[in-house]
Amino acid sequence: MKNLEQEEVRQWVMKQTANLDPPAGWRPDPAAALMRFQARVETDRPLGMSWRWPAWAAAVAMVIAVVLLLPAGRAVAQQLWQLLTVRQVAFIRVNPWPEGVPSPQVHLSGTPIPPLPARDVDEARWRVRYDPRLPRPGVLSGSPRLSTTFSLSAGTVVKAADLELALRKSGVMDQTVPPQWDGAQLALHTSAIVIGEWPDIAFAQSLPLTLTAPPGFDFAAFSALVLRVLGVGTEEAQRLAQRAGTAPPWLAPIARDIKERATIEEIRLNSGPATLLQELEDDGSVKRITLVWSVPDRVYLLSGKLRRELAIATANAVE
Amino acid sequence: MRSSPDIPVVTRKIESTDDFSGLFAAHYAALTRLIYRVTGDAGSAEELAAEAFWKLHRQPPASNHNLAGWLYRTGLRLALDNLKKRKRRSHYEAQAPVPQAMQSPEAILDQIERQVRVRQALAALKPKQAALLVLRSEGYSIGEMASLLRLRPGSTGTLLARADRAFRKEYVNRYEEP
Repeated sequence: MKNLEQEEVRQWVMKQTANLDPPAGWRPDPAAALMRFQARVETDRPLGMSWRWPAWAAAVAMVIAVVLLLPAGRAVAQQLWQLLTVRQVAFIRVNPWPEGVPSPQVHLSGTPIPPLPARDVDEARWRVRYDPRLPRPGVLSGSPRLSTTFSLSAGTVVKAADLELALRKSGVMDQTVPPQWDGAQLALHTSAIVIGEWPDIAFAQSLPLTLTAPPGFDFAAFSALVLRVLGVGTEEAQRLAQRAGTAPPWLAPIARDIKERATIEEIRLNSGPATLLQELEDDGSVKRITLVWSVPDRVYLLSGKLRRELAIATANAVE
Repeated sequence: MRSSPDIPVVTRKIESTDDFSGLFAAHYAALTRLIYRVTGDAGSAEELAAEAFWKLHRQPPASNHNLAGWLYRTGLRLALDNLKKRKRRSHYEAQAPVPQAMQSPEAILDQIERQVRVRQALAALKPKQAALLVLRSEGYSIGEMASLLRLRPGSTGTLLARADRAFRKEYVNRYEEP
């Protein structure tokens, strides 16, 4: 009898722990890990902290750091938390966070690991488990160096008191922060990222981003309020917060004080709308162009020192 | 289930880089998969597995007997510590899986919820009990578990049965479902 009971418990526990099975097809890569390990041994420094992130990672980190700016058009009541898919990307111009108010702390989960070189598209596909897309050959000269990253996650905890103070410091007196927002945890997740690099140009792609938040959390109201803190007018904040309809856009803030040195432009690609950011040198020449756009199953970022026309042609040639 | 064959028990001293590379090649993937079961995140699993090797490299144990066991115990301890810290820091942080094509949000949420429950119950167990359950779920035999966790083979089955009961009790207390 006792043995029967023990066996029943064993079977039940095994069924539960089977939920922890790694994804089918996931194979840790010892060779790549050993290369990273040997690099660490050579430098004898803590892994991750000394890696110099390339431009794409800085861009991803910057965008992740604005997780607070993600509005949603729907509040999905889920048992555990909301899970929303971000399918649009855009830059918006905002004021800096008010001085004297603690800015939201955003933490990346895990230690960022530099991209792993991939021999070819097949290897990149095998690692990220989706089909990487690249511009048609001939649009950019030469073949890209490919690499892949792991997924990235970043989160923040809403502090109602700080947000309230930020509102007042920004001169917003007609809004208050619902107390139930205090302590709400928000997180943004990317899929594994594929990066193609040509000289001076980087092209990164991810599956649509995923956003998680506590059940019932009103992203639209929250985002509108944060946008107000950052100097966006009432009506514009409401419009931006609601404009996505069924999916939140990914809004990357550009500080207003770089107005003289950057332009933001909404453009039209063959696949749909895109946002083009041009950063300028002091003499007016183009320092960097960043083009961000999305299709239903991908988010793309093209960045580098290239002409506007070439950036658009490259984006239109992605297949 | 683990894809690699039997886990060899390393009993000799690591005397050269080649030895270390061999140890890495033999155990890295299996250890990373085990850690993934605890953390649920491929990136942190790779990172923590590398950290276990790093500890072995920097501060190897006094005895060179069964270095693989040392590695697995260290890796699992790092993973369980990470799970507990994460639980304290943020209940939800990094629990979501990588978005995958063809999975609906509802299916992902359901999967996440089941995984979170199991991991929270595991985090509440004694580390050795949690390690036993994780190793078994990855397909390790009683003998292998005993070797890796430095247990007496004769008592490992009993400890495992105790771990089963502790897990079920913890799970039922938390979620009120058998």
